[in-house]
Amino acid sequence: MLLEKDLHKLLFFSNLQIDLKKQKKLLREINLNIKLLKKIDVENISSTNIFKRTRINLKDIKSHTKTHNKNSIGYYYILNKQNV
Amino acid sequence: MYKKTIKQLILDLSKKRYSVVELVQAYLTQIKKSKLNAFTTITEKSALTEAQKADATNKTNKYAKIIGIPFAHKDVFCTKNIRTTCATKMLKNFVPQYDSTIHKKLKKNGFILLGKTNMDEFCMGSNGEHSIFGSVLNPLNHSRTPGGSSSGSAASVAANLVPFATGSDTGGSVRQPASFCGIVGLKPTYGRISRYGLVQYASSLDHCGILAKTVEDCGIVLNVIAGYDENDLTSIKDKSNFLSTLTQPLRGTVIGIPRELFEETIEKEIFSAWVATIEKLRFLGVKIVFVKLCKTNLYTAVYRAIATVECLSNLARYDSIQYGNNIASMQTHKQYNDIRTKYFGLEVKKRIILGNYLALNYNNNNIYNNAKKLRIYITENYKKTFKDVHAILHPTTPTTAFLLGNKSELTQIKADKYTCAANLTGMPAITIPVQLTKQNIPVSMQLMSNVYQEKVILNIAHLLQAMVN
Repeated sequence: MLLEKDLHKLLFFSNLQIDLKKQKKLLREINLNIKLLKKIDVENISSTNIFKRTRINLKDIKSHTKTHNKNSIGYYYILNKQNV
Repeated sequence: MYKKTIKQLILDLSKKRYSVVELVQAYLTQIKKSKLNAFTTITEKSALTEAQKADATNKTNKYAKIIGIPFAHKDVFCTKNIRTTCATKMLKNFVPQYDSTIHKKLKKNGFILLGKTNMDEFCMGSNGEHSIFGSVLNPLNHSRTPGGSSSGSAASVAANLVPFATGSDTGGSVRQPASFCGIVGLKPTYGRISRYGLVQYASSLDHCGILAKTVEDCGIVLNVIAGYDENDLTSIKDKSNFLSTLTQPLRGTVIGIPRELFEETIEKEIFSAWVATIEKLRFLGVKIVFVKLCKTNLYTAVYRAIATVECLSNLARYDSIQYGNNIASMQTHKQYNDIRTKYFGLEVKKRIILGNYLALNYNNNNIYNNAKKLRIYITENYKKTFKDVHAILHPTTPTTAFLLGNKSELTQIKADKYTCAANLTGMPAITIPVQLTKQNIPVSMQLMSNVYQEKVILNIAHLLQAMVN
Protein backbone atom coordinates (compact mmCIF):
# COMPACT_ATOMS: atom_id res chain seq x y z
CA MET A 1 0.00 0.00 0.00
CA LEU A 2 1.21 3.47 -0.86
CA LEU A 3 1.56 5.81 2.13
CA GLU A 4 1.43 9.59 2.18
CA LYS A 5 5.25 9.90 2.42
CA ASP A 6 5.61 7.59 -0.62
CA LEU A 7 3.18 9.78 -2.52
CA HIS A 8 5.34 12.83 -1.79
CA LYS A 9 8.39 11.04 -3.21
CA LEU A 10 6.47 10.04 -6.34
CA LEU A 11 5.18 13.58 -6.75
CA PHE A 12 8.76 14.82 -6.62
CA PHE A 13 9.87 12.36 -9.33
CA SER A 14 6.82 13.27 -11.44
CA ASN A 15 7.54 17.02 -11.20
CA LEU A 16 4.06 17.57 -9.81
CA GLN A 17 2.33 18.94 -6.76
CA ILE A 18 -1.11 18.09 -5.46
CA ASP A 19 -3.53 20.19 -3.50
CA LEU A 20 -3.57 18.95 0.10
CA LYS A 21 -7.35 18.57 0.00
CA LYS A 22 -7.14 16.22 -2.96
CA GLN A 23 -4.27 14.10 -1.64
CA LYS A 24 -6.41 11.65 0.30
CA LYS A 25 -8.71 10.96 -2.63
CA LEU A 26 -5.76 10.56 -4.98
CA LEU A 27 -3.98 8.21 -2.58
CA ARG A 28 -7.14 6.10 -2.26
CA GLU A 29 -7.52 5.83 -6.03
CA ILE A 30 -3.83 5.04 -6.60
CA ASN A 31 -3.97 2.34 -3.93
CA LEU A 32 -7.01 0.83 -5.63
CA ASN A 33 -5.03 0.67 -8.86
CA ILE A 34 -1.99 -0.81 -7.12
CA LYS A 35 -4.20 -3.48 -5.56
CA LEU A 36 -5.37 -4.38 -9.06
CA LEU A 37 -1.86 -4.29 -10.53
CA LYS A 38 -0.46 -6.55 -7.82
CA LYS A 39 -2.72 -9.32 -9.07
CA ILE A 40 -0.46 -9.64 -12.12
CA ASP A 41 1.39 -12.93 -11.84
CA VAL A 42 3.35 -14.88 -14.42
CA GLU A 43 3.80 -18.11 -12.51
CA ASN A 44 1.97 -20.50 -14.80
CA ILE A 45 3.21 -19.12 -18.08
CA SER A 46 5.74 -21.09 -20.09
CA SER A 47 8.99 -19.22 -20.69
CA THR A 48 9.02 -19.92 -24.44
CA ASN A 49 6.15 -17.57 -24.96
CA ILE A 50 7.49 -14.85 -22.70
CA PHE A 51 10.89 -14.40 -24.26
CA LYS A 52 9.72 -14.35 -27.84
CA ARG A 53 10.54 -10.92 -29.20
CA THR A 54 9.57 -9.12 -32.35
CA ARG A 55 12.51 -8.53 -34.69
CA ILE A 56 13.12 -4.84 -35.28
CA ASN A 57 14.94 -3.71 -38.37
CA LEU A 58 17.65 -1.43 -37.02
CA LYS A 59 18.14 0.25 -40.38
CA ASP A 60 14.51 1.31 -40.40
CA ILE A 61 14.74 2.82 -36.94
CA LYS A 62 17.93 4.73 -37.72
CA SER A 63 16.62 6.17 -40.96
CA HIS A 64 13.32 6.97 -39.26
CA THR A 65 14.87 8.85 -36.37
CA LYS A 66 17.21 10.71 -38.71
CA THR A 67 14.53 11.98 -41.03
CA HIS A 68 11.88 12.44 -38.42
CA ASN A 69 11.21 15.37 -36.14
CA LYS A 70 10.50 15.32 -32.44
CA ASN A 71 6.80 14.77 -32.85
CA SER A 72 6.97 11.00 -32.74
CA ILE A 73 8.87 10.80 -29.49
CA GLY A 74 7.31 8.18 -27.19
CA TYR A 75 8.37 4.80 -28.44
CA TYR A 76 11.32 5.82 -30.60
CA TYR A 77 12.54 8.27 -28.03
CA ILE A 78 13.19 5.38 -25.68
CA LEU A 79 15.00 3.45 -28.40
CA ASN A 80 17.19 6.47 -29.17
CA LYS A 81 18.12 6.87 -25.56
CA GLN A 82 19.39 3.31 -25.49
CA ASN A 83 21.70 4.10 -28.44
CA VAL A 84 20.22 1.47 -30.73
CA MET B 1 -30.50 15.37 -45.02
CA TYR B 2 -28.29 15.45 -41.91
CA LYS B 3 -29.72 12.13 -40.73
CA LYS B 4 -28.32 10.17 -43.67
CA THR B 5 -25.38 7.78 -43.88
CA ILE B 6 -22.26 8.48 -45.93
CA LYS B 7 -23.44 6.10 -48.66
CA GLN B 8 -26.81 7.89 -48.94
CA LEU B 9 -25.12 11.31 -48.96
CA ILE B 10 -22.80 10.28 -51.80
CA LEU B 11 -25.82 9.05 -53.77
CA ASP B 12 -27.79 12.26 -53.12
CA LEU B 13 -24.86 14.48 -54.07
CA SER B 14 -24.28 12.53 -57.29
CA LYS B 15 -27.96 12.97 -58.19
CA LYS B 16 -27.68 16.67 -57.28
CA ARG B 17 -30.57 16.55 -54.80
CA TYR B 18 -28.70 19.23 -52.85
CA SER B 19 -25.30 20.93 -53.02
CA VAL B 20 -22.31 20.39 -50.71
CA VAL B 21 -22.77 23.96 -49.39
CA GLU B 22 -26.38 23.18 -48.42
CA LEU B 23 -25.28 19.95 -46.78
CA VAL B 24 -22.49 21.61 -44.78
CA GLN B 25 -24.83 24.44 -43.74
CA ALA B 26 -27.44 21.91 -42.54
CA TYR B 27 -24.85 20.16 -40.35
CA LEU B 28 -23.45 23.46 -39.03
CA THR B 29 -26.96 24.54 -38.02
CA GLN B 30 -27.41 21.26 -36.14
CA ILE B 31 -24.04 21.69 -34.39
CA LYS B 32 -24.93 25.25 -33.28
CA LYS B 33 -28.34 24.14 -32.01
CA SER B 34 -26.94 21.18 -30.08
CA LYS B 35 -26.55 21.37 -26.30
CA LEU B 36 -24.44 18.24 -25.95
CA ASN B 37 -21.11 20.11 -25.61
CA ALA B 38 -19.70 17.73 -28.22
CA PHE B 39 -17.45 20.24 -30.01
CA THR B 40 -14.40 22.15 -28.81
CA THR B 41 -13.79 24.00 -32.09
CA ILE B 42 -16.10 24.63 -35.05
CA THR B 43 -14.37 25.36 -38.36
CA GLU B 44 -17.35 27.05 -40.02
CA LYS B 45 -15.49 29.44 -42.30
CA SER B 46 -13.04 26.94 -43.77
CA ALA B 47 -15.81 24.30 -44.07
CA LEU B 48 -17.97 26.61 -46.18
CA THR B 49 -15.02 27.60 -48.38
CA GLU B 50 -14.16 23.92 -48.92
CA ALA B 51 -17.84 23.18 -49.64
CA GLN B 52 -17.92 25.80 -52.41
CA LYS B 53 -14.76 24.30 -53.94
CA ALA B 54 -16.28 20.81 -53.71
CA ASP B 55 -19.45 21.96 -55.48
CA ALA B 56 -17.37 23.42 -58.30
CA THR B 57 -15.34 20.20 -58.63
CA ASN B 58 -18.46 18.00 -58.56
CA LYS B 59 -19.96 20.13 -61.32
CA THR B 60 -16.98 20.04 -63.68
CA ASN B 61 -15.76 16.46 -63.08
CA LYS B 62 -18.78 14.57 -64.30
CA TYR B 63 -17.35 11.09 -63.96
CA ALA B 64 -15.02 11.63 -61.02
CA LYS B 65 -15.92 10.46 -57.54
CA ILE B 66 -18.19 12.66 -55.47
CA ILE B 67 -16.48 14.84 -52.85
CA GLY B 68 -17.73 16.99 -49.99
CA ILE B 69 -18.77 14.64 -47.17
CA PRO B 70 -18.50 16.46 -43.81
CA PHE B 71 -16.84 14.94 -40.74
CA ALA B 72 -15.33 15.81 -37.36
CA HIS B 73 -11.98 14.97 -35.76
CA LYS B 74 -11.45 14.04 -32.17
CA ASP B 75 -9.44 16.94 -30.73
CA VAL B 76 -6.37 14.73 -30.49
CA PHE B 77 -5.40 14.80 -34.19
CA CYS B 78 -3.08 17.60 -35.29
CA THR B 79 -4.62 19.92 -37.87
CA LYS B 80 -2.50 22.66 -39.46
CA ASN B 81 -3.52 26.14 -38.29
CA ILE B 82 -6.52 24.73 -36.39
CA ARG B 83 -6.32 24.56 -32.58
CA THR B 84 -5.67 21.06 -31.18
CA THR B 85 -6.31 21.06 -27.45
CA CYS B 86 -6.60 17.43 -26.30
CA ALA B 87 -9.12 18.95 -23.85
CA THR B 88 -6.25 19.97 -21.57
CA LYS B 89 -5.15 23.33 -20.20
CA MET B 90 -1.61 22.39 -21.20
CA LEU B 91 -2.46 22.60 -24.93
CA LYS B 92 -5.32 25.08 -24.74
CA ASN B 93 -3.66 27.44 -27.23
CA PHE B 94 -1.71 24.87 -29.23
CA VAL B 95 -1.95 25.36 -33.00
CA PRO B 96 -0.03 22.62 -34.86
CA GLN B 97 2.23 23.49 -37.77
CA TYR B 98 1.43 20.29 -39.67
CA ASP B 99 -1.47 17.97 -40.49
CA SER B 100 -1.77 14.48 -39.11
CA THR B 101 -1.67 11.79 -41.82
CA ILE B 102 -5.29 10.82 -41.17
CA HIS B 103 -6.38 14.44 -41.74
CA LYS B 104 -4.17 14.80 -44.82
CA LYS B 105 -5.75 11.70 -46.40
CA LEU B 106 -9.32 12.78 -45.64
CA LYS B 107 -8.66 16.29 -46.96
CA LYS B 108 -7.04 14.92 -50.12
CA ASN B 109 -10.11 12.78 -50.77
CA GLY B 110 -12.49 15.73 -50.49
CA PHE B 111 -13.88 15.26 -46.98
CA ILE B 112 -14.75 18.50 -45.19
CA LEU B 113 -13.79 19.13 -41.55
CA LEU B 114 -16.62 20.71 -39.54
CA GLY B 115 -14.77 20.87 -36.24
CA LYS B 116 -12.91 19.15 -33.44
CA THR B 117 -14.81 17.12 -30.86
CA ASN B 118 -14.63 17.14 -27.08
CA MET B 119 -12.90 14.31 -25.23
CA ASP B 120 -11.36 13.24 -21.93
CA GLU B 121 -8.11 15.07 -21.17
CA PHE B 122 -5.26 13.38 -23.10
CA CYS B 123 -7.67 10.46 -23.80
CA MET B 124 -7.60 9.47 -20.12
CA GLY B 125 -11.06 8.57 -18.92
CA SER B 126 -14.12 6.51 -19.73
CA ASN B 127 -16.95 8.98 -19.21
CA GLY B 128 -16.25 12.20 -21.11
CA GLU B 129 -16.15 14.18 -17.89
CA HIS B 130 -12.41 14.80 -17.61
CA SER B 131 -12.35 17.71 -20.05
CA ILE B 132 -11.54 21.37 -19.53
CA PHE B 133 -14.51 22.17 -21.79
CA GLY B 134 -16.96 20.38 -19.48
CA SER B 135 -18.84 17.09 -19.69
CA VAL B 136 -20.37 15.78 -22.90
CA LEU B 137 -23.98 14.58 -22.70
CA ASN B 138 -25.29 11.31 -24.12
CA PRO B 139 -27.73 12.27 -26.93
CA LEU B 140 -29.98 9.30 -26.17
CA ASN B 141 -30.33 10.06 -22.47
CA HIS B 142 -28.97 13.32 -21.06
CA SER B 143 -28.56 11.90 -17.56
CA ARG B 144 -26.12 9.27 -18.83
CA THR B 145 -22.50 9.51 -19.91
CA PRO B 146 -21.62 9.10 -23.61
CA GLY B 147 -18.54 7.09 -22.60
CA GLY B 148 -14.98 8.06 -23.33
CA SER B 149 -12.50 9.11 -24.23
CA SER B 150 -13.96 9.80 -27.72
CA SER B 151 -17.08 11.18 -26.02
CA GLY B 152 -17.66 14.14 -28.37
CA SER B 153 -17.11 12.05 -31.52
CA ALA B 154 -19.64 9.40 -30.41
CA ALA B 155 -22.21 11.96 -29.23
CA SER B 156 -21.94 14.02 -32.44
CA VAL B 157 -22.47 11.00 -34.72
CA ALA B 158 -25.35 9.67 -32.60
CA ALA B 159 -27.01 13.13 -32.56
CA ASN B 160 -26.64 13.55 -36.36
CA LEU B 161 -24.22 16.47 -36.05
CA VAL B 162 -21.80 14.76 -38.47
CA PRO B 163 -22.10 11.59 -40.60
CA PHE B 164 -18.87 10.20 -39.13
CA ALA B 165 -16.06 11.18 -36.81
CA THR B 166 -12.55 9.98 -36.06
CA GLY B 167 -11.41 8.77 -32.67
CA SER B 168 -8.43 7.26 -30.92
CA ASP B 169 -8.56 3.97 -29.03
CA THR B 170 -6.01 3.09 -26.32
CA GLY B 171 -8.08 0.80 -24.12
CA GLY B 172 -11.50 0.99 -25.76
CA SER B 173 -11.91 4.73 -26.31
CA VAL B 174 -13.66 4.31 -29.66
CA ARG B 175 -15.73 1.19 -28.97
CA GLN B 176 -16.97 2.03 -25.45
CA PRO B 177 -18.46 5.47 -26.36
CA ALA B 178 -19.83 4.02 -29.62
CA SER B 179 -21.52 1.34 -27.54
CA PHE B 180 -22.96 3.84 -25.02
CA CYS B 181 -24.31 6.05 -27.83
CA GLY B 182 -25.68 3.23 -30.00
CA ILE B 183 -23.47 3.69 -33.06
CA VAL B 184 -20.77 1.65 -34.83
CA GLY B 185 -17.15 1.97 -33.67
CA LEU B 186 -14.21 0.40 -35.49
CA LYS B 187 -10.68 -0.05 -34.19
CA PRO B 188 -8.53 -1.60 -36.95
CA THR B 189 -5.28 -3.55 -36.60
CA TYR B 190 -2.32 -1.73 -35.00
CA GLY B 191 -0.55 0.04 -37.87
CA ARG B 192 -3.49 -0.08 -40.31
CA ILE B 193 -4.00 3.68 -39.89
CA SER B 194 -0.96 5.92 -39.44
CA ARG B 195 -0.60 7.50 -36.00
CA TYR B 196 1.51 10.39 -37.28
CA GLY B 197 0.05 13.57 -35.83
CA LEU B 198 -1.94 11.81 -33.13
CA VAL B 199 -1.11 13.26 -29.72
CA GLN B 200 0.28 10.23 -27.93
CA TYR B 201 -0.89 8.69 -24.69
CA ALA B 202 0.50 5.12 -24.72
CA SER B 203 2.31 4.57 -28.00
CA SER B 204 2.15 0.77 -28.16
CA LEU B 205 -1.59 0.74 -27.37
CA ASP B 206 -2.76 3.82 -29.31
CA HIS B 207 -4.91 3.14 -32.39
CA CYS B 208 -6.85 5.46 -34.68
CA GLY B 209 -10.50 4.53 -35.12
CA ILE B 210 -13.75 5.45 -36.84
CA LEU B 211 -17.21 6.20 -35.42
CA ALA B 212 -20.10 6.07 -37.88
CA LYS B 213 -23.75 5.11 -38.18
CA THR B 214 -23.26 1.92 -40.19
CA VAL B 215 -20.63 -0.74 -40.72
CA GLU B 216 -20.55 0.12 -44.43
CA ASP B 217 -19.71 3.74 -43.60
CA CYS B 218 -16.81 2.53 -41.46
CA GLY B 219 -15.58 0.51 -44.45
CA ILE B 220 -15.85 3.52 -46.78
CA VAL B 221 -13.79 5.70 -44.43
CA LEU B 222 -11.28 2.93 -43.66
CA ASN B 223 -10.62 2.55 -47.40
CA VAL B 224 -9.57 6.22 -47.46
CA ILE B 225 -7.44 6.47 -44.32
CA ALA B 226 -5.75 3.05 -44.17
CA GLY B 227 -2.32 2.47 -45.63
CA TYR B 228 1.42 2.84 -45.22
CA ASP B 229 2.89 6.14 -44.09
CA GLU B 230 6.62 6.81 -44.08
CA ASN B 231 6.17 9.06 -41.05
CA ASP B 232 4.92 6.14 -38.95
CA LEU B 233 7.28 3.18 -38.91
CA THR B 234 4.61 0.95 -37.35
CA SER B 235 2.17 1.47 -40.24
CA ILE B 236 1.62 -1.55 -42.47
CA LYS B 237 1.97 -1.75 -46.24
CA ASP B 238 -1.06 -3.96 -46.95
CA LYS B 239 -3.78 -2.02 -48.78
CA SER B 240 -7.08 -3.84 -49.15
CA ASN B 241 -10.56 -2.91 -50.32
CA PHE B 242 -12.56 -3.31 -47.12
CA LEU B 243 -15.89 -3.19 -48.92
CA SER B 244 -15.18 -6.08 -51.28
CA THR B 245 -16.46 -8.84 -48.98
CA LEU B 246 -19.08 -6.86 -47.07
CA THR B 247 -22.12 -8.82 -48.26
CA GLN B 248 -20.47 -12.22 -48.57
CA PRO B 249 -22.69 -15.02 -47.09
CA LEU B 250 -21.64 -16.20 -43.65
CA ARG B 251 -22.02 -19.94 -44.25
CA GLY B 252 -18.83 -21.63 -43.05
CA THR B 253 -17.89 -18.80 -40.69
CA VAL B 254 -17.05 -19.89 -37.13
CA ILE B 255 -17.52 -17.50 -34.21
CA GLY B 256 -16.12 -18.15 -30.75
CA ILE B 257 -17.85 -17.28 -27.49
CA PRO B 258 -15.37 -16.88 -24.61
CA ARG B 259 -16.60 -19.26 -21.93
CA GLU B 260 -14.86 -17.25 -19.14
CA LEU B 261 -16.86 -14.10 -19.96
CA PHE B 262 -20.05 -16.09 -20.56
CA GLU B 263 -19.91 -17.40 -17.01
CA GLU B 264 -19.26 -13.98 -15.46
CA THR B 265 -22.01 -11.97 -13.83
CA ILE B 266 -22.96 -9.21 -16.24
CA GLU B 267 -26.12 -7.09 -16.44
CA LYS B 268 -29.16 -9.23 -17.19
CA GLU B 269 -30.24 -7.27 -20.24
CA ILE B 270 -26.73 -7.32 -21.72
CA PHE B 271 -26.55 -11.08 -21.24
CA SER B 272 -29.93 -11.64 -22.92
CA ALA B 273 -28.85 -9.37 -25.82
CA TRP B 274 -25.70 -11.49 -26.16
CA VAL B 275 -27.72 -14.71 -26.33
CA ALA B 276 -30.16 -13.14 -28.84
CA THR B 277 -27.23 -12.04 -31.05
CA ILE B 278 -25.81 -15.57 -31.00
CA GLU B 279 -29.19 -16.85 -32.19
CA LYS B 280 -29.30 -14.26 -34.99
CA LEU B 281 -25.83 -15.25 -36.14
CA ARG B 282 -26.84 -18.93 -36.12
CA PHE B 283 -29.76 -17.96 -38.34
CA LEU B 284 -27.28 -16.33 -40.75
CA GLY B 285 -25.44 -19.65 -41.05
CA VAL B 286 -22.62 -19.02 -38.59
CA LYS B 287 -21.26 -21.90 -36.52
CA ILE B 288 -20.97 -20.96 -32.83
CA VAL B 289 -18.38 -22.61 -30.57
CA PHE B 290 -17.08 -21.95 -27.06
CA VAL B 291 -13.42 -20.87 -26.81
CA LYS B 292 -11.06 -20.69 -23.86
CA LEU B 293 -9.30 -17.40 -23.17
CA CYS B 294 -6.62 -17.33 -20.47
CA LYS B 295 -6.12 -14.74 -17.72
CA THR B 296 -9.20 -12.69 -18.67
CA ASN B 297 -9.34 -11.34 -15.11
CA LEU B 298 -5.92 -9.70 -15.62
CA TYR B 299 -6.55 -7.87 -18.91
CA THR B 300 -7.37 -4.57 -17.23
CA ALA B 301 -4.39 -4.80 -14.87
CA VAL B 302 -1.95 -5.51 -17.73
CA TYR B 303 -3.44 -2.68 -19.78
CA ARG B 304 -3.23 -0.22 -16.86
CA ALA B 305 0.39 -1.14 -16.07
CA ILE B 306 1.60 -0.68 -19.66
CA ALA B 307 -0.53 2.39 -20.38
CA THR B 308 0.55 4.33 -17.29
CA VAL B 309 4.29 3.74 -17.83
CA GLU B 310 4.05 4.75 -21.50
CA CYS B 311 1.92 7.75 -20.52
CA LEU B 312 4.63 8.83 -18.07
CA SER B 313 7.18 8.75 -20.89
CA ASN B 314 4.95 10.48 -23.44
CA LEU B 315 3.80 13.27 -21.14
CA ALA B 316 7.34 14.18 -20.08
CA ARG B 317 7.55 16.41 -23.17
CA TYR B 318 5.02 18.87 -21.73
CA ASP B 319 7.59 21.10 -20.12
CA SER B 320 6.36 24.40 -21.62
CA ILE B 321 9.54 24.74 -23.64
CA GLN B 322 8.87 22.31 -26.47
CA TYR B 323 5.13 21.77 -25.87
CA GLY B 324 2.59 23.22 -23.48
CA ASN B 325 1.47 26.62 -22.34
CA ASN B 326 4.38 28.96 -21.84
CA ILE B 327 5.33 31.23 -19.00
CA ALA B 328 7.82 33.91 -20.04
CA SER B 329 11.45 33.35 -18.97
CA MET B 330 10.75 29.91 -17.57
CA GLN B 331 14.12 28.60 -16.51
CA THR B 332 14.13 26.96 -13.14
CA HIS B 333 13.03 23.50 -12.12
CA LYS B 334 10.47 25.05 -9.78
CA GLN B 335 8.76 26.76 -12.68
CA TYR B 336 8.72 23.51 -14.64
CA ASN B 337 7.07 21.90 -11.64
CA ASP B 338 4.55 24.73 -11.31
CA ILE B 339 3.47 24.56 -14.92
CA ARG B 340 2.84 20.82 -14.85
CA THR B 341 0.96 21.20 -11.58
CA LYS B 342 -1.17 24.03 -12.91
CA TYR B 343 -2.01 22.69 -16.35
CA PHE B 344 -2.45 18.90 -15.89
CA GLY B 345 -5.83 17.65 -14.64
CA LEU B 346 -6.17 15.32 -11.65
CA GLU B 347 -6.80 12.18 -13.75
CA VAL B 348 -3.64 12.83 -15.79
CA LYS B 349 -1.61 13.46 -12.63
CA LYS B 350 -2.89 10.21 -11.16
CA ARG B 351 -1.74 8.21 -14.17
CA ILE B 352 1.68 9.91 -14.22
CA ILE B 353 2.18 9.09 -10.54
CA LEU B 354 1.06 5.50 -11.08
CA GLY B 355 3.42 5.26 -14.06
CA ASN B 356 6.27 6.49 -11.87
CA TYR B 357 5.35 3.97 -9.18
CA LEU B 358 5.80 1.18 -11.74
CA ALA B 359 8.77 2.64 -13.62
CA LEU B 360 10.75 3.29 -10.46
CA ASN B 361 10.17 -0.33 -9.49
CA TYR B 362 8.72 0.79 -6.20
CA ASN B 363 8.42 -1.99 -3.57
CA ASN B 364 10.50 -4.18 -5.89
CA ASN B 365 7.48 -5.88 -7.40
CA ASN B 366 8.52 -5.90 -11.03
CA ILE B 367 4.88 -5.36 -12.01
CA TYR B 368 5.66 -3.63 -15.30
CA ASN B 369 7.98 -6.37 -16.59
CA ASN B 370 5.45 -9.03 -15.66
CA ALA B 371 2.72 -7.05 -17.42
CA LYS B 372 4.83 -7.00 -20.60
CA LYS B 373 5.33 -10.77 -20.35
CA LEU B 374 1.62 -11.31 -19.81
CA ARG B 375 0.83 -9.13 -22.82
CA ILE B 376 2.84 -11.49 -25.04
CA TYR B 377 1.14 -14.47 -23.44
CA ILE B 378 -2.34 -12.99 -24.02
CA THR B 379 -1.48 -12.23 -27.67
CA GLU B 380 -0.24 -15.79 -28.22
CA ASN B 381 -3.42 -17.10 -26.61
CA TYR B 382 -5.59 -15.06 -28.98
CA LYS B 383 -3.52 -16.09 -32.03
CA LYS B 384 -3.97 -19.74 -31.04
CA THR B 385 -7.72 -19.21 -30.61
CA PHE B 386 -8.03 -17.62 -34.06
CA LYS B 387 -6.66 -20.81 -35.65
CA ASP B 388 -10.04 -22.40 -34.84
CA VAL B 389 -12.46 -19.48 -35.18
CA HIS B 390 -12.82 -16.49 -37.52
CA ALA B 391 -13.99 -14.04 -34.86
CA ILE B 392 -14.86 -13.75 -31.18
CA LEU B 393 -18.13 -12.23 -30.00
CA HIS B 394 -18.93 -10.74 -26.61
CA PRO B 395 -20.55 -7.58 -25.17
CA THR B 396 -18.52 -4.38 -25.64
CA THR B 397 -18.96 -3.37 -22.00
CA PRO B 398 -20.16 -5.25 -18.91
CA THR B 399 -22.57 -2.39 -18.10
CA THR B 400 -24.73 -0.01 -20.09
CA ALA B 401 -24.01 3.76 -20.10
CA PHE B 402 -23.56 4.83 -16.48
CA LEU B 403 -24.99 7.96 -14.88
CA LEU B 404 -23.24 11.31 -15.33
CA GLY B 405 -21.15 12.23 -12.31
CA ASN B 406 -20.15 8.64 -11.61
CA LYS B 407 -16.39 9.18 -11.46
CA SER B 408 -15.69 6.17 -9.24
CA GLU B 409 -12.33 4.54 -9.96
CA LEU B 410 -13.89 1.07 -9.97
CA THR B 411 -16.37 2.07 -12.71
CA GLN B 412 -13.51 3.42 -14.81
CA ILE B 413 -11.51 0.23 -14.39
CA LYS B 414 -14.53 -1.95 -15.23
CA ALA B 415 -15.34 0.06 -18.37
CA ASP B 416 -12.20 -1.15 -20.19
CA LYS B 417 -12.60 -4.76 -19.13
CA TYR B 418 -13.81 -6.28 -22.42
CA THR B 419 -12.24 -3.81 -24.82
CA CYS B 420 -8.58 -3.56 -23.78
CA ALA B 421 -7.63 -7.05 -25.06
CA ALA B 422 -7.87 -5.78 -28.65
CA ASN B 423 -5.39 -3.00 -27.79
CA LEU B 424 -2.99 -5.31 -25.98
CA THR B 425 -2.94 -7.71 -28.93
CA GLY B 426 -3.23 -5.07 -31.69
CA MET B 427 -6.10 -7.03 -33.25
CA PRO B 428 -9.06 -5.37 -35.02
CA ALA B 429 -12.42 -5.03 -33.26
CA ILE B 430 -15.77 -3.51 -34.08
CA THR B 431 -18.78 -2.70 -31.92
CA ILE B 432 -22.36 -2.64 -33.20
CA PRO B 433 -25.59 -1.81 -31.38
CA VAL B 434 -27.88 -4.84 -31.17
CA GLN B 435 -30.66 -3.97 -28.78
CA LEU B 436 -32.21 -1.30 -26.57
CA THR B 437 -32.91 -1.87 -22.87
CA LYS B 438 -36.29 -1.10 -21.30
CA GLN B 439 -34.93 2.37 -20.44
CA ASN B 440 -33.96 2.96 -24.09
CA ILE B 441 -30.23 2.58 -23.47
CA PRO B 442 -28.31 0.80 -26.25
CA VAL B 443 -26.56 -2.54 -25.77
CA SER B 444 -23.69 -3.34 -28.14
CA MET B 445 -21.68 -6.39 -29.07
CA GLN B 446 -18.01 -6.50 -29.99
CA LEU B 447 -16.53 -8.65 -32.75
CA MET B 448 -12.79 -9.23 -32.72
CA SER B 449 -10.66 -11.07 -35.26
CA ASN B 450 -7.01 -11.87 -35.95
CA VAL B 451 -4.58 -9.18 -37.13
CA TYR B 452 -5.23 -7.83 -40.68
CA GLN B 453 -8.66 -9.55 -40.73
CA GLU B 454 -10.81 -6.40 -40.71
CA LYS B 455 -12.72 -7.73 -43.70
CA VAL B 456 -13.98 -10.69 -41.63
CA ILE B 457 -15.45 -8.57 -38.83
CA LEU B 458 -16.82 -5.98 -41.25
CA ASN B 459 -18.59 -8.76 -43.17
CA ILE B 460 -20.15 -10.33 -40.06
CA ALA B 461 -21.02 -6.96 -38.50
CA HIS B 462 -22.61 -5.66 -41.72
CA LEU B 463 -24.93 -8.65 -42.09
CA LEU B 464 -25.71 -8.65 -38.38
CA GLN B 465 -26.55 -4.93 -38.46
CA ALA B 466 -28.82 -5.44 -41.47
CA MET B 467 -30.65 -8.17 -39.57
CA VAL B 468 -30.94 -6.15 -36.34
CA ASN B 469 -32.29 -3.12 -38.22
